Amino acid sequence: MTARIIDAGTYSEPVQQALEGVLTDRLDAGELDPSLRFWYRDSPAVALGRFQAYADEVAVDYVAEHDIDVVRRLTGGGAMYVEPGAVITYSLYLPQDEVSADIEASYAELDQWAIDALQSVGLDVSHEPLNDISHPEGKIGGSAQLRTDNAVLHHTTMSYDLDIPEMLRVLRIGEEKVSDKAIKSAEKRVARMTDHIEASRADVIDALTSTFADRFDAEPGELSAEAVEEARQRAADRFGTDAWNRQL
Amino acid sequence: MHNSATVNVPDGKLLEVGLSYDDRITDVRLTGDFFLEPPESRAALEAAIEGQPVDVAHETLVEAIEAVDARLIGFDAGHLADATLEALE
Repeated sequence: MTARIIDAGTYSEPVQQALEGVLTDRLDAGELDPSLRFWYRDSPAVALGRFQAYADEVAVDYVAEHDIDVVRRLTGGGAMYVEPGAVITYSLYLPQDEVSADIEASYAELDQWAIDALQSVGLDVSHEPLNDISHPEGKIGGSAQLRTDNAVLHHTTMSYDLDIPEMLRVLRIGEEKVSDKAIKSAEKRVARMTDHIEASRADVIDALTSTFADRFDAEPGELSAEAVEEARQRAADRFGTDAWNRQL
Repeated sequence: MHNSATVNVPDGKLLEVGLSYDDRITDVRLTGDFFLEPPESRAALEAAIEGQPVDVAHETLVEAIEAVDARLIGFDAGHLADATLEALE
């Protein structure tokens, strides 16, 4: 089994989140090689954690006025505001028997190659349990996992050059009247790569790609047209619907 | 009565429990930035709390929560019991 790197394709947030289920299912069924996939988005969006309450996390009126897609993920964890070109998101689809059964340990393991890649471009980052990639100035990224019978999905979003004031308008952590919850979140400040390194976003993705390829003998791969079509269908049925996104 | 309570797990996640109660607990809603495997077990955790009397002991809640076939990640049954009892205060 050769590990693959899929570095192509721009999709809407509902299709991106739908692809996560499609590709995890395919890996689970033995129809996909272990893969790393980079995401490219076409508009700003919020990726909501699976168990989060929509109205607790998102400035509901603001996202409606600005047509910002809010899409509930398959994975738990916290809400992320994402913008094309300003974040780096990637996913790992792996066989369960190649990942530590200890979930806390598996976050550290599966983040390590990325931490090494970021250090190679000059970023002082480290894994911070449970699921953060941290810089001395704040949180640079976070990961989330989903496990099926045979597969592990591990996906990570990191801030390259995120518009923090906009993030604070979109997510309720920016509200002046802060709850305990918001204080906790805001304390975990977001750190951006561009505040610390000169490397372009493409350079960072190159470093991630080459580190992963070296470590896991990975070869370029691609998404099948059938997988993309299935994701578009699931986006229409689920990830683009209020019934899923606003269920909580 | 309807009420909710939030628990910040040290070095972990945030849990919010919303519930209604009269002499027993009904309509539990568990939300937050935690992880749960399988994700569908959220409904079973809520069901484990529903039907408990309003004067339920912490230990009883923990036992009911631990009886659910779920992996709680970033929190444990004690935190969920804490949030439930706080929502009943």
